[in-house]
Amino acid sequence: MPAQAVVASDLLRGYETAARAQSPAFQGFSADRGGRLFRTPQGGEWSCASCHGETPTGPGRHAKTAKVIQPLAPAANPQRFTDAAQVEKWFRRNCGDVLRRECTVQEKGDILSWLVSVK
Amino acid sequence: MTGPLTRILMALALASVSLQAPADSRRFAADDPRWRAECGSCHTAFPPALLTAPAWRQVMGALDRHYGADASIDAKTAAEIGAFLERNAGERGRAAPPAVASTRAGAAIAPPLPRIADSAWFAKEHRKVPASTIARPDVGSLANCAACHTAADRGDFSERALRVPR
Ligand code: HEC
Ligand code: HEC
Ligand code: HEC
Repeated sequence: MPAQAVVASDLLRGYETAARAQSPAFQGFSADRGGRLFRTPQGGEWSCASCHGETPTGPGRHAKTAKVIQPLAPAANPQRFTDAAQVEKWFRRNCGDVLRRECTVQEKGDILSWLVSVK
Repeated sequence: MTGPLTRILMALALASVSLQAPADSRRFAADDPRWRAECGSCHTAFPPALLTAPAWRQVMGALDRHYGADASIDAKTAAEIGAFLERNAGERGRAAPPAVASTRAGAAIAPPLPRIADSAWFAKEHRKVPASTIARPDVGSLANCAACHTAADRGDFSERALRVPR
């Protein structure tokens, strides 16, 4: 199965369809909520910002290995959110490290809405 | 006909031979795109020659509990990368052995995992690096090879590319 070239807005539409199918009460995504989730530790040692930085248009640094991580916001790094399998793999693992569980479609949509909104 | 230009070219050719890294650096030349992409995202892709084959089996058998991070990948990719690592693994003495299982409480949550610095060769090579350098926020640990070996991502650990932060 070849990797599908997508852009962030395609992914966001996919999350929206999935969220609507999961819950008729779905109210849409919130960039504000996504930004807060991104910057706040969720009971563990790390928040998303621990590695990606508070400002996703700038580079981050891995909290444990100190390796520099290129910006996560598509405005600063057009390569981001262009490979759906890659995005899902990192969401699965990083949400596990931060929340001790996978992120819900709502949470992924909120975070992505925030990341595409920062310019 | 040996004009001045030819002589200069020959001199340059000889110089480039003597400038080449010592044979030792061939140890780190093994490359694989899958390995580089998957194992080089959170840290330098550690060259296979740094660990022995049984030590790599420990690492690849516990990617979901990888030194405190989740590094899990699909089974097929993991098998391919594991084969590459074992094929190019180092020998005991020059590479780190597998970790010994701990009997401490909590050992079940944290599986035994090898450390590169546990190889006698690595420890000797780095014995002069001050603890204060390792503690710097931009170094963090000796496993952050690229903090000092600026060409680590290309498998080049020669002294030419060495810049210890100070
Ligand atoms: C312990 C460090 C760490 C934490 C914490 C972390 N990440 Fe990451 N994340 C990484 C690394 C390393 C990469 C891959 C390196 C790269 O692509 O430059 C990555 C990549 C990603 C990607 C891939 C994007 C793409 O298209 O390339 C997404 C999405 C992502 N992270 C989201 C998150 C979210 C959401 C959180 C919080 C729940 C989070 N990360 C927390 C280290 C971290
Ligand atoms: C999601 C992030 C992530 C990915 C992906 C990842 N690692 Fe790691 N790795 C870490 C962290 C975090 C450490 C611990 C660093 C520390 O303790 O300073 C580590 C440490 C290691 C060490 C021990 C280094 C030492 O201290 O001696 C080895 C060996 C290693 N990783 C191999 C691999 C291999 C092989 C892969 C690919 C299959 C891989 N890693 C992929 C995060 C990752
Ligand atoms: C804090 C800085 C620092 C870090 C981090 C570091 N090294 Fe080194 N390394 C050195 C220094 C200094 C030397 C030179 C020792 C000497 O010649 O006295 C060296 C020497 C070496 C050599 C021998 C080079 C030669 O040509 O003789 C190799 C190979 C090497 N390091 C590999 C690694 C690997 C692999 C890592 C990561 C797992 C690493 N180093 C991490 C500082 C560092």
